[in-house]
Amino acid sequence: MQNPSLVHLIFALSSLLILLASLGVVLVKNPVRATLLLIASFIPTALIYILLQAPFVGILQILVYAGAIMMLFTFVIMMINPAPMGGKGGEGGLPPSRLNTLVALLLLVLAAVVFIPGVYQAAAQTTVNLPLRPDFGGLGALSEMIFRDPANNPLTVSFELMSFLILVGIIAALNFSRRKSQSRLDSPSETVSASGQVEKEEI
Amino acid sequence: MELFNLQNVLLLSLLLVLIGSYGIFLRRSLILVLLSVEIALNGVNLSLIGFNYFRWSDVETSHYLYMLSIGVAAVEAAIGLSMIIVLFRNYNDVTRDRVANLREIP
Amino acid sequence: MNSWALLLLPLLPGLSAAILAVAGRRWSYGVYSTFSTAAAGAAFLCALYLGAASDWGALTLNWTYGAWLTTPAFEAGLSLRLDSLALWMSMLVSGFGFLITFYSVGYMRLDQEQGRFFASLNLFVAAMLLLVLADNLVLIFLGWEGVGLCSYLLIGHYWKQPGVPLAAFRAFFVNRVGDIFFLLGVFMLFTVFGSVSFSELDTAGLLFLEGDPEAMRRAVWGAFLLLGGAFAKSAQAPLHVWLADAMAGPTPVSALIHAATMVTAGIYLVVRLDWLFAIAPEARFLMAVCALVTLIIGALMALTQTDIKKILAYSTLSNLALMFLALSITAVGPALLHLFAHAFFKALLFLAAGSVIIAAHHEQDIRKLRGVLKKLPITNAAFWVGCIGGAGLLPFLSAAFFSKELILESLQQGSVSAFGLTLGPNFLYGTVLVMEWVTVLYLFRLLGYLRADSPAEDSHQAHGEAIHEPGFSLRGILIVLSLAAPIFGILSATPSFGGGGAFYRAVSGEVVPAGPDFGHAAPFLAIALLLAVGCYLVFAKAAWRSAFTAKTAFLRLGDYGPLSRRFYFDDVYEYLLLGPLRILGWLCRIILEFLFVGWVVLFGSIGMGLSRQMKRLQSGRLHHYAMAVLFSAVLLYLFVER
Repeated sequence: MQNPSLVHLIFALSSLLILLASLGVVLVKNPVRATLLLIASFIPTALIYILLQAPFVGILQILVYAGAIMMLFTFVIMMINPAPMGGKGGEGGLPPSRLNTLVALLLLVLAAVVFIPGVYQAAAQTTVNLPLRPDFGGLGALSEMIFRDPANNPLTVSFELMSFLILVGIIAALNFSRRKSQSRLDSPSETVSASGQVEKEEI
Repeated sequence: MELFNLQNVLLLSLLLVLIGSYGIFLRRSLILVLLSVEIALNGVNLSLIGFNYFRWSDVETSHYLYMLSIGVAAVEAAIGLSMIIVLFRNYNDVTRDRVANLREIP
Repeated sequence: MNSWALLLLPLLPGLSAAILAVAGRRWSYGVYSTFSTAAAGAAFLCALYLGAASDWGALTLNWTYGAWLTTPAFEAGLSLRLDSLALWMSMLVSGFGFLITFYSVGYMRLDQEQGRFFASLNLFVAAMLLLVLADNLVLIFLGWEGVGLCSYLLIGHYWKQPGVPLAAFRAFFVNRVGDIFFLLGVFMLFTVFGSVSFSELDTAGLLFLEGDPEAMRRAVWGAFLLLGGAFAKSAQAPLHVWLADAMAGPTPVSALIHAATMVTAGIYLVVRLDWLFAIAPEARFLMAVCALVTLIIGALMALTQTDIKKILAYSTLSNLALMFLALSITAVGPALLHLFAHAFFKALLFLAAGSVIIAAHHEQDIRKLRGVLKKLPITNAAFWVGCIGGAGLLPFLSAAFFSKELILESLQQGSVSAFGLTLGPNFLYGTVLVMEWVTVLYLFRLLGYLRADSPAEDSHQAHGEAIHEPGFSLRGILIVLSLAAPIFGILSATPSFGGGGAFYRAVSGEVVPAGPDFGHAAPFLAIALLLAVGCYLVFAKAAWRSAFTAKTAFLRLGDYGPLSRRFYFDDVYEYLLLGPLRILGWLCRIILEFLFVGWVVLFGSIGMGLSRQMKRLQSGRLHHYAMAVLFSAVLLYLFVER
C-alpha cells in the first residue's frame, strides 16, 4: 500500500463496521436482518483481507461466504417464514433466565480478560518481516503452492480430500431433508402430503 | 497513529469470537445461533490471515487453511440448516429449547 | 457289521434328537414326529438284528470304539458290550421307546412345543440304551446322567403350569443325589479292583471272593454307595419322593419312565453287578429294608390316591420294591422276569390312562372320570388286560402272575441277614403276599371307578364335547400292547404250568425253576380273585361306593395322617435337611454381606451418587455446552500460558 495513513484509516473504519454489523447480528430480533447484517460484516472483512495482502482470500470471502453460504441461510429463513418477534424461525419460547445471561456475560468478560493480554503478548513476540513478495497471496502463487508436483504434495491430497467432505455433507443434508416425516411423534405410516391429503408413506 | 498492526488484527478477531460466543450463548433461534457461529469462524479466519501477513510472510499457508476452513463452514452450514428444516417440519419450531431432550420423547 | 449295528443302536435316537433339536423347529409336526418315531423304530430294528446276530444273547459281543478317558492309572474307553442282559434290556428300551414315541404322535398332536418333546424323547431312549450297553462304569455314568437330564426336560414339559418346574427340579435334584452316590461308588470300586470295565470287574470279582478283609470292607462300601445311586434312579425309599411328582409330565413320558427307561436303570445296575452284591450281604440287607418300606408305602399310597396317574406311579413304586426285594435275596432271574412283565402291564396301563385323559380333556381325577371307560371300548379292553396283568390274577394272560409267583417262591426259601439281624423267609413272604393283595385292591378300585355306573356331574359334559376314542396312533398302540402282554405271558410260563420258561432262561441265563404248581397257588389266587371282584363291585356301584368311602374315611387318619402327608418323607426332608441348610445359607449370606457385599454396595452407591450428580451436568441445552467449550478454552490457555 502506498499510503500508510490511508491503510490505517481503512483498517479502522472496516473494523468498526465489522464490529457494529456483528453486534447487530447477535442483537436484532429479525433473522432476515441478522443475515443481511452478517453479509454486511463480510464486505469490510474482505477489505481487511486485501489490506493483509490476501486478495484471493478476500474474493473468496465475498463469493463463497457472502454469496453462497449466506444464500443458504437466506433460503432457509425464507422457507420457514420467521416472524420478527417470537415467530417460528425467530426467538420463540422463553427468554434466557437472568442467571443464564449473567453467567454468559461473566464468561465473556473472563475470556476477554484472559485473552487480551495474550493477544498483546503474541503480537509482541512476533516480528514483522515486510515487504512481501509482489505476487504474495495471488491466485498464481496459491495454485503454485497447492498444485505443484501434485504426486508428492500433501496440500494437493488434502485439498482434494476436502471435496469428499463436501460430498459427505451434501449427502447428509439431502438425507436429512428428503424424508417428509421422520418424526417419532407423528405416526410413521401416514403423513400429510403437500396437497393436504393423507396418504400412505412409501419409502 | 499505527493502527494496522498484528495486535489490532488479533484484537478484532478476538472481539468477533466473543461477539459470536455471545450470540451462541444467548440467542434462542437455532438459525441465529448458526449465524453467530459464522461470526466466530470469521474471527478465527481473520487471525489466520493476519498472522500470515505479519509473521510467516514467505508462504501462503494460512490462505490455504482459510480455504479448508470455509469448506468446513459450508458443510457445517448445509448440514445445520437441513437439520433445522427437519426440526421445523416435525415441531414447527426451531428454538434451541426444543432440542434439549437427551432421550426419546415418550 | 455287528459292531456298526451295536454303535447305531444308541446313536440313531441320539442323532435324531440332535437333528430335531437343531432343525426340528422349521419342520411341520407331521415331519418331525414321523422322523422321531422312525429313529426309535430303527433303533428297535438294530436291537432285533443284534439279537439275531448274537443268537438271542447266547453270544457276548464286545467292541471298543475308541479311547475316552485315558490316564496311566485309569482307562475308560468308548466300549459297548452286548450280553444277554444288555440285549434284552436294549430290546425292552428301544421297543417300548418306539411304541411310546409312536403313541406320542397322536397324544401330543394338539400340544405345544412338540419339537422339544420329541427331541427329548429320542435323547431319553438314546441315553438309556447307552446306559444299558456301556461296558464300563464311567460310560454308564454318561447314560445315567443323560437319563436324569431327559427326565428333567420331559417332566418339566408343561413348564408354564404352576408346580411343574418344581416337580421337574425335584426329580433332577434327587437324581443328582443318587448320581453323587453312584460316582463315589465307582471311585470306591476302582480303588478296590483297579478297573471300571465290567468285563474285567466280573473276573476280578470272582477271584476276589477269597480276598483280604480290608478290600472286602471297601467293596461293601462301594456296594452301599452304588445302591444309593440305584435307589435314586429306581425310586426306592428314602429317595422315592420324585416319582409321584414326576406325574406332572405328559402321560407318554410317564409310561416311558415307568416301563422302560428311567426306573429300570437302578435294577439293571444291581443285576449287572450282582456278584458284588452277592458278597455284600450288608448292602442287600439295606436293600431289603428299604424295599420293604417302599413296597408298603407304595401300595398303601396307591390305595388312597384319586389321581389316575398317581395311582399308577405308586403302583410302580411297590413293583420296583418287589424287584429289589427279590434281588436282595439274590433271586436275579425272578426279578428280571418281573421287570419285563411290569414294563408290559405298566406301559399298557399308562398309555390307556393317557387315552382316558385325552378323551376326557385332561381330567385326571378318577372321581370325575366315573364311567368313562363305558364309552371307550378299546381303552376299556386295554385297562382290563393291564389291571389283570398288573394284579397277576390269571396265568398266561399276564407274565406278572409267573414273575410274582417265582418271587414269592424264592422268598419262601431265601433270607437276608446282616448286622446281627435277619429278615426271615416267613416275614418277607407274608409281607409281600399281603401287599400283593393290596395291589389287587388298588388296581380294581381304579377300574371300578372308571367303570362306575354314574357318569353324571362329569366335568367334560360342561365342555359340550362328547367323549370318544382318541386317534389312530393311540388306539393302535393300545391294541398292540394288549395283544403283546398275553403273548409275553405265554412265553414266560413256568414249567409247572406247561410252559418252557424260554424268556426266563434267555434273559437270566439260569435254569428256569419249576415254579409253583397250580394246586399250591390256587388258595391265594382265589383270595385275590375274590378281593378283585369285591373291590370292583364296591367301587362300581354308586350306592355301595358312597357308603364304603364314608365308612372307611377314618382310615386316612385325617389331614395329617401318614397317607395324607405321604408318610412324612417330604416333612422329614423339609425340616431335617432343608431347614438346617436354609439356616446355614442364611448365616453364610450374612457373613458374605458383611465381608464382601458391604464394600461393593458402598463403592457402588458412591459411584451411583456421583453419576447421579454428574448427570445433571448434561442438560441437553446447546448453550450450556458452548459455554463449557469457551470456559475450557480459557482454562486450557491459562494452563498452557503458565
